[in-house]
Amino acid sequence: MKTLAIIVGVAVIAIAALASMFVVDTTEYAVVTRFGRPLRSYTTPGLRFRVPLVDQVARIDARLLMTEPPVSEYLTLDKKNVVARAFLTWRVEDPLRYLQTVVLREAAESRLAAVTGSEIGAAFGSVPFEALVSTEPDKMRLGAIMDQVEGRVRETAAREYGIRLVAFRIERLAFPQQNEASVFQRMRAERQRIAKQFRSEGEEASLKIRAEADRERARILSEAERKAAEIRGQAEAEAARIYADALGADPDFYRFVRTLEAYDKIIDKDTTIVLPADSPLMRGLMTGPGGGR
Amino acid sequence: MRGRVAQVLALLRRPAGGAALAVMLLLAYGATGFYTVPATSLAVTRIFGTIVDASVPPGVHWWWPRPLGQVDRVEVTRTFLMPVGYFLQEEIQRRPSPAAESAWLTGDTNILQLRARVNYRIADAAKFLFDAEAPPEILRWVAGSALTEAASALPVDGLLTSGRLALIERVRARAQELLDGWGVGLQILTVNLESVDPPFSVVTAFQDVQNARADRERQMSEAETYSNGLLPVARGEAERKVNEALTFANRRLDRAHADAERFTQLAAEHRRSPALLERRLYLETAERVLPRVRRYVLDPGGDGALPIRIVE
Repeated sequence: MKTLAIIVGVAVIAIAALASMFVVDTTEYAVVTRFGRPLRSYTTPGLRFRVPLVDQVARIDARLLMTEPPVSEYLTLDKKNVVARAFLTWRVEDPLRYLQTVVLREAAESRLAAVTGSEIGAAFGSVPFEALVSTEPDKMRLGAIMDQVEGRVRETAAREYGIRLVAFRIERLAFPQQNEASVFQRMRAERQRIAKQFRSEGEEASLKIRAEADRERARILSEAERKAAEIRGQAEAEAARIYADALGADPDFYRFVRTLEAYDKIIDKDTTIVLPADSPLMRGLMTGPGGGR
Repeated sequence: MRGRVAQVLALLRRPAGGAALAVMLLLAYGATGFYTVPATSLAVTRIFGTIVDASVPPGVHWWWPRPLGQVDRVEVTRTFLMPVGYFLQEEIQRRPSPAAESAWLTGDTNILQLRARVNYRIADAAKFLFDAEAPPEILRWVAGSALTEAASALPVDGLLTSGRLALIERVRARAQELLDGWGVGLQILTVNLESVDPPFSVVTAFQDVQNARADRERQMSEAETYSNGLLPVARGEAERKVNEALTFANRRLDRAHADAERFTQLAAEHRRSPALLERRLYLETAERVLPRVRRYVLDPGGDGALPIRIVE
């Protein structure tokens, strides 16, 4: 009986000791509350103690958390509708304040989402559409806009909810569903313009190459003709010089020979020659031997 | 049951027996503390929630069992994939994959369907396990955000053609920079752009631009072909003309030389006996010429009238 009393006593003490101990994990914070009133908070991991039955332990996720506010539509300064999908990464910084103001993560997320939505609205509303989407680096300010929203939300989150906003980022930009058709229409028109430009460029380049080829051909041929004429001219000149050298030695005899050659060429079968009977050729025939002059 | 309790109580009445039981229970508890770490992994040990060793190497180890301690293994050598702009097959059950998921705005306000894949590994096991709620999901959103930032500064034609590498590098660098700043414990290895397509309803218009570009190339190459065919022929023609001229020149000079030679010899002979040669040449010419003509001989005997005799 005595032994049983000892065993029961040890058991009670052990249970009480176990009930007063709790572990704070590295992934969480713990706040000890007594009848709902926060007593103290633990932000580092380890074995902690409380008064059993009286003290409650509230555990709060200490990790980096991600929240996706609902996707919504915003209006830029130049009245263009843009759909933005954003996300936030955040941690609880002050567990006591967090516990007092938001209690549950869902509540924290919906409040962060609300603040973020209105900050995005304000930021987008103060810039033209080109600041969000532009190929010109000096107009593009998406990074700066994200930083601006991040700064504002961070301030509110820290002050109101004990939350440290790590980052705000825009994950996606899009046009509203009802604008899509007109965007596609515009894209199509732009493509048609580019296609037309390519085709006329092709035609232009082709004509140019062909014209150049034709011109080059004409140049090559006329140069060849010039060269040929030059060669012929030189040959004629050279030939003339040769004739002149040879014939110049006896001009009278040349005249005689050349005249005979000319007769040979001029007179054909249709030519009629009238020979006087006393011509040197005929005289011999007509008058017989010895009659010649 | 009652018998067993009585036995245990009996055992406990003897001091040695109680001690033996306590030791046995402790040994049994301690034996559950052995664990293995596979070759691909590291383990992180905690006791009372506090990290003790953040990189236990592969092998067999012992650590305090629950509820005192905890062991978590992390595959640190494996390469993980995270799709950006679409969902993996196993995710589609949970999240539908509408076309909008892969639609991105380009800098010149076109819409493009981009699908990328991020290859990553776990660089810091403790951070991966305990510092963030869902590191891979954060990675996906960060990569998407970096892609948005890069795509909305680039023109659609750049993204469709030469700008892809630049885009990928920008996304990788930006996403890694953000992740490092947040302590998520992931390292991006590569970013692959799996597909870049125009939206379905404008595909044909984009295709036509491709065709037009091809047409341009084709027209230009046809013109080159024309040019390449034309010029060699022209050069050949030119060569022929020049050769003809050279042939003519040779022939002309040869003839001139021959004529000159013939005349010089004739002239030499003429110098020796002019009258004889002249007569011979004259007669030779007459012989050659007269047979082919219709000839009339006029007799000088008549007076005024022409008594003609045909000598045919």
